[in-house]
Amino acid sequence: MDELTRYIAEHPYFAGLSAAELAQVCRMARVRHLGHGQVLALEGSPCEEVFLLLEGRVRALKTSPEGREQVVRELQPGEGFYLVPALDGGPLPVTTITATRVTLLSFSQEDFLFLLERYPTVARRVLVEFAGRLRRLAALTGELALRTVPQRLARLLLESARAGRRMTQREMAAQIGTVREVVARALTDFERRGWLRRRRGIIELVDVRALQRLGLGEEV
Amino acid sequence: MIPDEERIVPEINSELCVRCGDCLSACPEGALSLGEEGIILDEEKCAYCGDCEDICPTGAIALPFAIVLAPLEDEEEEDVG
Ligand code: SF4
Ligand code: SF4
Repeated sequence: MDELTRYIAEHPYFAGLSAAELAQVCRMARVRHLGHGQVLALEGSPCEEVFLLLEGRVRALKTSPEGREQVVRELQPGEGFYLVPALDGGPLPVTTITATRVTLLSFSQEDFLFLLERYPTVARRVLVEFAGRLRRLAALTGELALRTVPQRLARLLLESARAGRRMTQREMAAQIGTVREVVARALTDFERRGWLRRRRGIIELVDVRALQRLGLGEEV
Repeated sequence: MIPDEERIVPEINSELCVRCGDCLSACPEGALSLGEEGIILDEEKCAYCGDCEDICPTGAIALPFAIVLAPLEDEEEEDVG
């Protein structure tokens, strides 16, 4: 089995297709191996391709109104991107740049739409993934509406300590739907209250109870 | 486990760096310079403040934090030894 066929056969979108069907998908797909820092596509341009990330990480960047490019998300293996513009025909919402060595599958927009029409199981799997994304977004929207930044940050810190996670302040900001400066201010405030200690590269949670109370929305 | 504090420095991915120099002017400690091979960090000077990470247009600089529970002194809490 060649590399392309193996990647297609192993990808969850194409599970359950017959050998002949997989062969047809393979004729439309390309495997790409890229180094770090390669631009895949630019924000605002029309959608030409859909990408399915297999290995490595890809950064999604957005230009702020002041013209600064900000990393808004880091895509992980298993994620697809530019499916929304492929479907609605709108411009690409983000610029994508490889953050590591990357292996991905790409399809032209027309071929991807053809696959969705031709193979209902593929369409269904894509829809299930979209449903998951909508749920996560709805949960985040709820968090944004119901909880303040310090509350969301307190919850994230407790979860991360439990999971033994390492995160940059920018990643924390992305998780709770804000920007780094705001996270930095909230951390300084938590430190002033004696809830945590910051050392080079380490955030030590000192007063777990106070953070829990804040995370639950109780007055502290 | 808490990593050795002394060895924690910003992670600079020279392959992502486009040599724009923005981080040099953003660094309040003057810890960064541009050499032949890209950005050079003076580890002694760096305060791990994150200003360089914030200004970098390509996401080439990362300052991760390990998030940990402080060693327990309170007798009510469990020993994680
Ligand atoms: S973390 Fe702060 S002090 Fe260290 S190199 Fe970056 S800007 Fe300079
Ligand atoms: S700001 Fe980023 S891209 Fe610009 S010189 Fe510094 S590390 Fe390189």
